Amino acid sequence: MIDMLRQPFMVHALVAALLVGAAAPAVGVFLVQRRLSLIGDGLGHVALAGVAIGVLTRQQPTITALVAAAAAAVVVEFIRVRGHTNADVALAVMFYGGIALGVVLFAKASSADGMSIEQYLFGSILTTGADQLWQFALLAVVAVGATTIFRKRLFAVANDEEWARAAGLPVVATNLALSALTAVTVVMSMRIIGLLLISALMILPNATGQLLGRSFRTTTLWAVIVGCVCGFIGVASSWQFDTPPGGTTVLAAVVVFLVASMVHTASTVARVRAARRSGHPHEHHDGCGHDAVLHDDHVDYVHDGHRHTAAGVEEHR
Amino acid sequence: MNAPVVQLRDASFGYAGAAVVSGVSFAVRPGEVVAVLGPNGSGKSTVMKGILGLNDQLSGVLELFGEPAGQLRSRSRIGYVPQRHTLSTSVRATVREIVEVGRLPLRPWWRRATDADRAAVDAALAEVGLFDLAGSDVSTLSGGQQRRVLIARALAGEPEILVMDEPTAGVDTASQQVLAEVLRRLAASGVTMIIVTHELEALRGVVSRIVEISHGQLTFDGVPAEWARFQARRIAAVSANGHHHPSDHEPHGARAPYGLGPLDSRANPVGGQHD
Repeated sequence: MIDMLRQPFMVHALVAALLVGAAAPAVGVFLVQRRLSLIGDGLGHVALAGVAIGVLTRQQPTITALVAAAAAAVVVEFIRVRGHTNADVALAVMFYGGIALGVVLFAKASSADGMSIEQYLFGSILTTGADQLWQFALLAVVAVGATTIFRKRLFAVANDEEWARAAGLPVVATNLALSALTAVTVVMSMRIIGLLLISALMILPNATGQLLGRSFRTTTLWAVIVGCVCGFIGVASSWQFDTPPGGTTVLAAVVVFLVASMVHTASTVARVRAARRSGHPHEHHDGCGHDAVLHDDHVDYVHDGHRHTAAGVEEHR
Repeated sequence: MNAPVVQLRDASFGYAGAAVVSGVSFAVRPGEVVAVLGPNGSGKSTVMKGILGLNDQLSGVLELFGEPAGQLRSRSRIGYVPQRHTLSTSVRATVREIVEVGRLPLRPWWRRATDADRAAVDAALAEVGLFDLAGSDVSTLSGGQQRRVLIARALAGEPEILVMDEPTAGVDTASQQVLAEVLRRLAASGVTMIIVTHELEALRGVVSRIVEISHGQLTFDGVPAEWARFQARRIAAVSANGHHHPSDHEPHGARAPYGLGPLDSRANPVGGQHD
């Protein structure tokens, strides 16, 4: 395992995997919140067309892919705002049109350049040069930086758009910023995880984070940690067992999620049993059947002649 | 007399150029608690969303804080408490995290939360009786508790008027009592409120004035005592004519119209007729 770090290309790969592992869940949590989990997948389809155009016209594929994905992201947002009845059909046309165009253009380009479409569809982290790594590092800093700085605003708009509009928050700008960040994340990840797999790394670590954290802040933090760990596993396993890093990273994310959900279920069952044994199984809330009394800064529940707070404090303050 | 917080003069609101309500005039003065009544589809929510700037104002005048609505710089001076549970619960979020959002419109994006922000969030949580649940995941709370989270979010922005859409709808009686208690507490501390509601009975003793919107028009504006007399006259007229259209005036069918009697007991601080 230590040998791995003596190889410069493996160190590059590891850095790249950790960057994607942090950035993808950090952006993805807002997609989960807005129930747009699969948008990253569609943008990846369109990005392939961008890559093919770049290869064909001998431009930087990263740049052309970024333009294509960002344009698609803005169109998605526009279709969503318009509330068109056939929105999902419109998205399907765009996404499948994108990947089909990519496949056709690639076939024309690869004969000349020896570029393979698989490198972009499934990632090829080990053939990523230092110059491209710098591009990806820059994009990762943009993605993680922006989601950190704008975390509360992105959260507010994704949580309750109507309220955000009434309160005067810049809803359209915030949503467009999230679209742009999604495009950035898809493009930086295409050589590392692959365009067909990147959406998984935006969503799965967040599914795990939801099980491990108790607040939005801690769930996001957990998701980023899980993303980085899975990225590391992907690269290390490619060195150790000669597996494709992109696929291994996503498989690791799936396994981590399954283990976390089993542990979560087991601990929930244990907690319910413990509560039943304690003889006080009831957690009070408004309408739980006990009289509720608004008292100072909390609500008390009258219960067998004594009062409880919802937090379960026996003694009345 | 105090300048009105909200002033509507012959105002029409609607969507995509089509008016849903038209020719509505009324004013809300500081300290008033105005209930906006009306059957489903009457346009009462449209009026409320018009005041909030969430739909199109097609004609007439809407003044907020004495200025034309379009010139309002800081929309957070109006605290909005949405009706349905608009909170997305697709990800975990604590009560405090939701309420903190109420402070965001008050500061530029580059500034972090200050002690004043945290103190305002604490105060808002205490006001609605959720201080001890600040760390709970909102999706684990009851419907009534979630409504109180939404009220706290609005209060955190320290608004000059609260606009609430059906705050007591769809929650059980015990929760309604707690919510009414919270609203009473706010009214007693002089908070101006517009409450769109079906359930006037749940707001007994809180409301100082009643406005009724029906079929896209303003059909009543007065104090609760006048409302009771108005309803009695309406029923008498309907029985005398032998025509009875329950759906016109009684959204709940057989139910007594908007709870007579108990509201009469409260003295109205503002006085009778309004423009």
